[in-house]
Amino acid sequence: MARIITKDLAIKIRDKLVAQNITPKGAPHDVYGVFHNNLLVAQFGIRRGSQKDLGHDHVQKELNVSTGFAKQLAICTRSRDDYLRERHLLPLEEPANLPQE
Amino acid sequence: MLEDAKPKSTFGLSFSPEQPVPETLPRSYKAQLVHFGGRLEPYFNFNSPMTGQENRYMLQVGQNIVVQNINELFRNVSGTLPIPHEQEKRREQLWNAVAGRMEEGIQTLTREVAALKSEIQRLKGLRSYVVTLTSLAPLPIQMINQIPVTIEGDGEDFTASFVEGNISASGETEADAIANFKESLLSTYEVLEGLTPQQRGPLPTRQWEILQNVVRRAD
Repeated sequence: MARIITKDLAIKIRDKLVAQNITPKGAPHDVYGVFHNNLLVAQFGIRRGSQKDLGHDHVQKELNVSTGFAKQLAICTRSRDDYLRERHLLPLEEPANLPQE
Repeated sequence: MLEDAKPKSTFGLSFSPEQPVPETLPRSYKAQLVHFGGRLEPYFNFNSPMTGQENRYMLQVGQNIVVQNINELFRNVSGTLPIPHEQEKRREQLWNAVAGRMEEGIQTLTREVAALKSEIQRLKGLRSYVVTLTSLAPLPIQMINQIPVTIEGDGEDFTASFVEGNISASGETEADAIANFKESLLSTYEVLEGLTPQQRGPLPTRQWEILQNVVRRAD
């Protein structure tokens, strides 16, 4: 692929989603789980290796979001709550209250 | 029009019967006429050829067109330039503004076309096809149904995905991506296997249902 999500960005996504390491014993790559209210919401793998630009274009597919959303998660414009809303696990943001007459 | 037969000095030029009119007008004179909103061109009527047409010029100012011998034109030209300086300056400013905006637009379009070309080149290089896994050996799980794996790549990076099960892995080659995919499949299976139904969210619940239909623990 075009290597949009690199290992560097995948780690930023992991941190942004506060994903926990749930790697099974003996697995050749690290597995991280996103939890919400003690429920596993999604899991994704991060490849081992020192290269920061290692291709991780599978992450957005495992998180079930678009490439653009995943990139925004990595570069700070999207938050964990945005992800949970995207996955319908949090209610959509209430519109700003209109002044009452 | 002026009836004065005496040659006039117009825009710094003067001609008299003793001083022959040049076949080609000096550039500076043309430029000044254009500056005042006029268009001056050599005139030649091919339908009624006549001698002496070499010195005939057509002057256009707005809707007014005058075709005259250059000497007559020079004598009368000051009376046929109605556009005042300020109006012409304003017109020039407007044209400059329009030209500036057009230049910016062209630059933007050029950038966008370059970006599109680059994207087209990238898309041309993309490959996508589906393969069916034949074995998960030596993993401790075995297939009970076929798993269609979509391979996408551009020659440098590849992903292998089981779209239905939301399981995906990357690799530098197709084979690398498939090998990583098998490991990812096992990891996903093991993680989900270790959770109770109450601990699985909507996506993992769906994944677990799908995985149970395609793989199981090897005997």
